[in-house]
Amino acid sequence: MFQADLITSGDTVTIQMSGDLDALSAPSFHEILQQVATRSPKKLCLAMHGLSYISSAGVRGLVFARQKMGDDMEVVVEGANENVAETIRMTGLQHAITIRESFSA
Amino acid sequence: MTSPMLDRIDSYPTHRVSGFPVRHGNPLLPGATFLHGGVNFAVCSENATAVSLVLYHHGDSEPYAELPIPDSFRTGHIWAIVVYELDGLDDLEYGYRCEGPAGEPGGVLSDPYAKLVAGREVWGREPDWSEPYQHRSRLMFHDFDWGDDTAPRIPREELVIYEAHVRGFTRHPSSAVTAPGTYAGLREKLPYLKSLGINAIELMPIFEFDEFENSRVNADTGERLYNFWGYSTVSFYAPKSGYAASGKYGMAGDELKALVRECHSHGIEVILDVVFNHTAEGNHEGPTISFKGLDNDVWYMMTPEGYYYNFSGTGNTMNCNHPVVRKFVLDCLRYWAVEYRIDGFRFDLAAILSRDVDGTPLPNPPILQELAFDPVLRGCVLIAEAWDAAGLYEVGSFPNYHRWSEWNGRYRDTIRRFVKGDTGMVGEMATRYVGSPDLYAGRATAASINFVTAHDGFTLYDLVSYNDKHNEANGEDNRDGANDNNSWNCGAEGETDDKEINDLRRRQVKNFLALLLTSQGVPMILAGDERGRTQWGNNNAYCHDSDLSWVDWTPNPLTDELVRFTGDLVRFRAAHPAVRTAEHPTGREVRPGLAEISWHGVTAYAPDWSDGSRLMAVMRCAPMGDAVDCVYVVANTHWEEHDVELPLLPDGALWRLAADTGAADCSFPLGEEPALDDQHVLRVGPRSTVVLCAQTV
Repeated sequence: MFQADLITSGDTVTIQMSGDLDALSAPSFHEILQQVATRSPKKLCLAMHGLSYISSAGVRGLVFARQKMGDDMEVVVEGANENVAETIRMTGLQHAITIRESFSA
Repeated sequence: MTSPMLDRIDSYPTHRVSGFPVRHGNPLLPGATFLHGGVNFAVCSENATAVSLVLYHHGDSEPYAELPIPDSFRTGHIWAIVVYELDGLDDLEYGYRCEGPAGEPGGVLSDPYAKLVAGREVWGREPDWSEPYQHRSRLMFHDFDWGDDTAPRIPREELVIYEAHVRGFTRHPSSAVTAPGTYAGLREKLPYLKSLGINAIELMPIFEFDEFENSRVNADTGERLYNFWGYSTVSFYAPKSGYAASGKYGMAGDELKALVRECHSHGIEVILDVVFNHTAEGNHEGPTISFKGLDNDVWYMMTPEGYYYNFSGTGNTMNCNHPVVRKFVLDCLRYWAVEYRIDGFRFDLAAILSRDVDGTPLPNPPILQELAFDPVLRGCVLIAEAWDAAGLYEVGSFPNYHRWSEWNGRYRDTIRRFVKGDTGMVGEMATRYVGSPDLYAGRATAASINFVTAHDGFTLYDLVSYNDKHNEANGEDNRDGANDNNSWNCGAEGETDDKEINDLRRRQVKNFLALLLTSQGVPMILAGDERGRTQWGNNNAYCHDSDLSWVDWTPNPLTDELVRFTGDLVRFRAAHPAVRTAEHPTGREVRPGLAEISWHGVTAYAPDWSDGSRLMAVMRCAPMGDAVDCVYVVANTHWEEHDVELPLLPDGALWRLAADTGAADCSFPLGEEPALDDQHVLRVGPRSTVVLCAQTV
């Protein structure tokens, strides 16, 4: 069961994610990202510590996240498992998405 | 201020099929294409009387929906439908089921235009053979960020091509990359290629293929054998997912694009080895994957008796001059040039593309002409392997439209015999050395892709270490692979502790590299040859996913020396226009007394073209700014040393030593070439090549 909680702190929006981010849950993740985009924060943190599984649809969600946000917004992935972090690097997304062990606003 | 996206007023469903809202699709968009609110599916079948779109969730054996495409949605032979409300597009796999005149629907067919294929995402993972739909079409999102990527657009005669296998290049544990054997792994090695001076990488097939095609276990060794090279395409628009570390996430396309982008940022072009001469469907005993089920006699050349012509030696022959297939090939290459920003293509067994639908060679094959003049491909290098497996040999006569280059097989054969020390070779070697003007008169020197070795055949080290092929590990009783290798083992077959033999082998490897990299035309180096890579005498390593076919990155004195030598010669080539002129050199003078080319022997200006000669010496001159660039190369394939008289340079210019294969570890970085003590006579060691340079005003 995928769950995403939005936390706003100043110019930073954090999405705390848990459960499985897969093809079934990806659409709701996309909807949340659309909501975030309307708030125009300066930073978006995708906190993935609680994610137990991420599928190809989930990884593509990261691309979607990058594209929904303006160029001047930093997108940070925090707590991603090594597979996801590696996938971001190998597919050349590391220019667009920052990967961090932990996030500080 | 952003402008709102305009919704199309015609983007709404008009029918329902199998519970899905649909409408008439766009037949001009082959494959699966995202449209506003839906996905357009279009497939061509002349023979089908009914076509269904079959939808799966990723990896499921059973489809979750099957949508018969209404006959009213058919335009000519194109069946097209837009399907709305498809959830989980990342997760969607699809195919087509065709019903023929006999009325019996067949199995599910892959989309020839599939941009991504599921089923082999992880290299070497045993497929579920009970699964009826093995190669499953997927959608691909075209949202890769190319940033400020710019194609290098290197003048053709300046290319130095490096032929590599994506997996074999970094799969060896010594590669020390994060993801061995993948596009990402190759990306990590680009600084190495850059340091060598390579400016084009030619990737052996990366269209989706099945490594398990004809897979078997060698009964003697227990080794699992694969279709490692991949010269058997399953899907022409899809990158090989098993070459992507991110393949399991459906991100193979992005990973490959990241590789291309990074190549470009290093000034390296990317050339794909493409296989349009046949497909993985084989002959009448082969599997039906896609084309056979759609329109067998459109896609394949068939004999009047209904059998598959086998000009490819692999069971079937793609019908490349059929108008439908022609369009497909052109569409495909345009797609790779645009979507993946590929800089060129090398066509495997390209002579097949010059055959008519009945196999007859054509003087003016439509497919080759279209590719030559296509405006989208105009910036791409086109290279033909100008022969096929049925005896059509078109090196020098390939229909070229002043556009196509060719793998020059005669260069390979000649340089091998010359360096080996065969007599009667000096004259032909001289012709090959200056760009084979006998074959390519009136065409640029870049028409000739010069090579000593390629994936087919011995590696360079093995060429000087084995007289005969040793393909026992292929499990075919050493019957496979070429027998006419023009190789010489230097005195012992295979590995030896004999220092004299090993020194000679090292020298011979350098002789090949020195001549290749100073020849007019475009040099191509097989990956690992600059490191002395061995396949232990195997000259047909197509089936080995092992250290037999992987590049070994372990440093040792030999590899260090060869890498340094290769890099020095590649940079020498880049710095000296005299060896890479766009036109074939002639005897005309670039300055009074300095001809573009002059031939020499033991005595200057007195070449020995006799059958017994084993010495070739040549001086080439070309303008370089306000100066004249002069390069003198002498190759002595005799086992005795010889003193050669050097041609005099005007105005006190000095000959400088760039490389001497007869001296230990003797090549010099640019600008550090020492002037010769003796400017008149040069001693050339046994079986040695010396490269000199000079600059005059």
